[in-house]
Amino acid sequence: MPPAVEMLGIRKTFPGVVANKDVSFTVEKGEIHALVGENGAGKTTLMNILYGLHQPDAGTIRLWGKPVEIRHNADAIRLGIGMVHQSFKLVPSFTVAENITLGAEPRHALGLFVDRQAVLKNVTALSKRFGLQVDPTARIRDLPVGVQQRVEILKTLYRSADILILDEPTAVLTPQETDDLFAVIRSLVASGKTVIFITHKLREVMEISDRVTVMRDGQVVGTKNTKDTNPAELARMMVGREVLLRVNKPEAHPKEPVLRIENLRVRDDRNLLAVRGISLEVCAGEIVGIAGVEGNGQRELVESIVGLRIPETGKILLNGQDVTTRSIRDRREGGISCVPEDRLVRGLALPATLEENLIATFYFKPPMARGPLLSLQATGDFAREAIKTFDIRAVSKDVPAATLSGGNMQKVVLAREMSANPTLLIVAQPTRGLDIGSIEFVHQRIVDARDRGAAVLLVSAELEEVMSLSDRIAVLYEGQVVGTIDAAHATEQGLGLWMAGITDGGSESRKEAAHG
Amino acid sequence: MADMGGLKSLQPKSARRAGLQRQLRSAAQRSIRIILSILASMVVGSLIMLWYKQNPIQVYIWLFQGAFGSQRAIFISLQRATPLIFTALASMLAFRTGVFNVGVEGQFFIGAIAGTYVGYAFRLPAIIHLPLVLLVAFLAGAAWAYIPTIMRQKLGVSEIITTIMTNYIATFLTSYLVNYPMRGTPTTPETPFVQPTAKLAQFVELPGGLGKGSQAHVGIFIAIALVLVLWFVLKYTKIGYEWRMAGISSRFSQFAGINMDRVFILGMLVSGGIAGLGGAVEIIGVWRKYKDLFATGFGFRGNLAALLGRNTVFGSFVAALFYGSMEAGALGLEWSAGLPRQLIDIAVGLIVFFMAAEGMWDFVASKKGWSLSGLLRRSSGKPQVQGG
Amino acid sequence: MDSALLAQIWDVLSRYVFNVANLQGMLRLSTPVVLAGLCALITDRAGILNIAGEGMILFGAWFAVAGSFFFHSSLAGVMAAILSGLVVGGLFALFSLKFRAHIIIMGIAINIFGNAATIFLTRAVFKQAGAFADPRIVGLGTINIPILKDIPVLGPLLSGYTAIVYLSWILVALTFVFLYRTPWGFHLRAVGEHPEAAATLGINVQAIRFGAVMASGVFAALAGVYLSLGHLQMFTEQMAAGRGFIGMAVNTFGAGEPLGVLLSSFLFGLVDTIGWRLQGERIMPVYFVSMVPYITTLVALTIYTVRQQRRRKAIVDNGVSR
Repeated sequence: MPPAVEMLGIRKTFPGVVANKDVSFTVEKGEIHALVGENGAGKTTLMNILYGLHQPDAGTIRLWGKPVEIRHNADAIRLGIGMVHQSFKLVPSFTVAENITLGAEPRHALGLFVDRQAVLKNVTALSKRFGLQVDPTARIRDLPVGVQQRVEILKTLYRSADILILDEPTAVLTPQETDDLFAVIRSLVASGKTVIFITHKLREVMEISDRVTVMRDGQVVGTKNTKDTNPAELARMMVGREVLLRVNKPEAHPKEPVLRIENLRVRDDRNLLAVRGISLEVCAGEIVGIAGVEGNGQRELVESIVGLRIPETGKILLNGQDVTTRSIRDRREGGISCVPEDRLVRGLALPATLEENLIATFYFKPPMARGPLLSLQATGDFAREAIKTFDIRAVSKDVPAATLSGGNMQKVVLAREMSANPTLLIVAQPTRGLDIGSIEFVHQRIVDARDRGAAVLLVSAELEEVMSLSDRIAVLYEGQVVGTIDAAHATEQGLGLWMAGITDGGSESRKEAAHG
Repeated sequence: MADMGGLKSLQPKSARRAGLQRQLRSAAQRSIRIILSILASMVVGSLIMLWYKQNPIQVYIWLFQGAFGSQRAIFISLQRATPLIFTALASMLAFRTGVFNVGVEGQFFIGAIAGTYVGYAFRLPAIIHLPLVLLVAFLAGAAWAYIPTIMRQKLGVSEIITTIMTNYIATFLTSYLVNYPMRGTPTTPETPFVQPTAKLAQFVELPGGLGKGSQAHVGIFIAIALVLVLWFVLKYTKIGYEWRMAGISSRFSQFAGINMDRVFILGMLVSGGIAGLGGAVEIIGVWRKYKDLFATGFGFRGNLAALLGRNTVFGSFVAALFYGSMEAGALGLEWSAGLPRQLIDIAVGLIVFFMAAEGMWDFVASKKGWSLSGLLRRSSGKPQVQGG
Repeated sequence: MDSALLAQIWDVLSRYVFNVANLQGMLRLSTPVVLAGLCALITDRAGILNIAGEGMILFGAWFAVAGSFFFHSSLAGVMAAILSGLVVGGLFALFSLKFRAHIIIMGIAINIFGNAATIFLTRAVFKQAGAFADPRIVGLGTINIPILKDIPVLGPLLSGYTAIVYLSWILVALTFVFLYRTPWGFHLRAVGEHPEAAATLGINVQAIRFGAVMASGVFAALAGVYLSLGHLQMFTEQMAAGRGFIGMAVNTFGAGEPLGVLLSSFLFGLVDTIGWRLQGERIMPVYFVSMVPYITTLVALTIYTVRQQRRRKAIVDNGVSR
């Protein structure tokens, strides 16, 4: 029996980044195959190629043993591949049945009208056939996320998908809904479907999959039968590095706490709880690293500390003062600086000049401001000084930030944020997309800030970075801190397990994470 | 673009050079696009002239003569441009801060009538009277702009619809005022004349008698002063910096701690104030009394001029001068060729059309197998950078 | 409650609201607003911000008069208007969808252009300035529906309008059917709410948007037909008088639903009619009457948004509370 899917020698490059390097990936018919790795490992890109959303630069794809060309996702659908993405593609005001049949509506009266009876009938039959309970007349916007996901699955089945790709399906589900999903997956496989399951949660891999493929840095590390492996081994495969960049840093001498977070609960843009009760402390002169796969609440945590998002409950204290609802400028004046994760949108105004970007947090105070006026002398001097100190490679201070390379862009952000001599410095994903030289530079600056007495909160999905920079490490999983440890005692495997949701509490972890 | 996590990227030094080349190329591209847009508009204009059985070249010559061909023509151009400078600056300021203030028209009228009232209802020494008129006009325009502003800030209602509504309300409100409470003569809907102390001198009235045959007035200097003030404010003040950054990237500005509400409200108020100022200047300079429906379209032409001037201070100034001189030329055209002066509005509108349609030029270029980078390459003789 | 007060209230209501003449006025005056509302609705539901209604109405009004004048028939006028709507809509779509012009700038440009071009054409073609009226313009005749017109109250209320009034109601119904009963209506709504969902299911998003914009051109053109042929037979400069924007407001107030647009337009028409009545009775000067539609729009938008805000929690976005 030829394998359901064979992807051979797949290579895909995006500007500046090689997402898939000679990847070969095989899925057998009727199996549940987990595709595992951290953010940026390349797993979503690989599946997007299979689903026709991207074209590979090189490599071949075979379905059921026969080579195929997938140029557009319509081709993939036609070939029987269906994908359920992390963010659903459902029309909120349509009913379940209308979403499922969208684009392929049954018609009558010379094809002019939608046969609404048939829509309901077809969907009801489909849902019964696969045992996926849905109310075809319910509107999507009224449905909980778990049911919406079932609708997405039914959408693929309606188009006769035999191979289903699920991208991080449990990221938005409660434990109960996750159990339901697994039951659905098992029953689909029992009726002959093949399922590819992208995840970073090793517990689920062990529970549901038949085989697991681990990817890292755009390459396949290995494929194993699930029953022949264990989470520790998988974690090691996921996060291990050939080269470990260690930063030479002197010992930390932490002093009084600068940032104290008490029981913080924050909602994300979809109104789901992203931060589910975090308490944390960062002292002056120490670097606390927040490790974790992206999407576990880090973004919302940082946004609430900076002031871009107001928490639902909980307190944020800066040097003893409650800043939970204060304005961004007040917090910055109180000593917070932030190198944001979203460098291009929040950290910089790309069409503006370097000088304009650099002075954005200083322009209203002396020496740059004298009354209502700006002193262009002072702003220019500051910009030139910053460019020199931070070794920013640019033609002049008057070029648009957009003309800079990624590393230099980040240096601009660093220059601005660090020049404020913050008492609390937050850096989120500081070296994403940067070259080795820039990474070293950024790391050095972060340590310098700590040694000058700042409290540093580092948020990074790069485990190696967290381990080498931090003095203490806290791991975030599903909006909660699942473990803290001194960096000196931390191991990759241990952190990897925590990041994947496996705490020492074992089988209780998923239910624990549910509280909140 | 997909999030690539921690995958390392290697940026060669040539990437920075490519960035600079990109910048130069885009500046050149923009100039070429402006020129092409003007040419395209002239082509369409020529077609219309041909339909009128006029020789396009002759018409363009007349147009030019009407705008610049004599001392009188130049002064008429200045006169027509003066109100447009105000409305263009008002539009530009709003657009720069990221707001579409299409209510400039209404703010212009409200400022005009408020200034007129102060102009005729009080007797004051000129030193006080004139500045007072201008001040009241500014405040009235700002107040009129406050209505849609507050609706956007507090209620989230889009300023596009609300500003247009206030335009119409302003038109009827001023008509009412001029027909009833402020009516100066029993036969025509006009206010009384403003006091001599509230007038702006016309050039013909000044010693030297320049500008005979036009009503150009010293308000042009107020306009020029305003250009300089705005330039200064945008470049050298805190609020100017905030306005600029808010328009460039509101998300960045928010992150940096800038108070977006305050920036936005101030921007709209000043924008409305400038429009109102322009209205009063036009009255006390040209007509010296408010006549019902003394003019329409200053606001919209100001919007167009700001867009033409790419939302810069000097660009809007030049565009307004250009527009005004074209109008002056078109007046002459009505005499000579019988071409309605709306032709100018059509032509300028077309220029804006063509300029805004970035994809169109790429489309045209691709059809003809050209590329702008290729054109530049050939013209400058420099080797092409990879990956442009 | 005091019976004298009740009697007063009843008196006011029956004079101004429950009054056949006023209701007739309401139905007539609301017609261009209904059509302008449909113009806004169809693009709004497709996810397109269309502020060019004003210009498209003017083109429609002018070409209706031109068609009627040159071909001596009102039907020719309607056809000419519809054609102009398709062309202007098509150009609008081409420039903003394909050539990536900023859609708001395009809308502003079309409105200014529409005004300038129609004034220009009036002078160029008809050699008139300001307005063009001519006995040779054939207007739309009134339709007296045979049996209906004799029914006591409903008769005069529902019969005796020009064709375009009835057409506007039919179009409201057709729009409803299109949106909720035909495949392309489903596709259009999907494109408007979640274009990615539509695209990944093989729906041609660009084609749908093009179609929506061109349809909006036709609706606006028909609004123009009402203005220039439906009541008096003439074209006046700037005769759209903001109805393109009032149409947008009516669409907002009607929550993007055809029936909502119809009812909101009726409200407009009623308020407008009452205003004229008040002017006729010398209670209100004509200028304030003219302000009524625009003030109504502001008030309606305010009420609508306040209610929306109460339902939604405030989300801080770009530092501006929306």
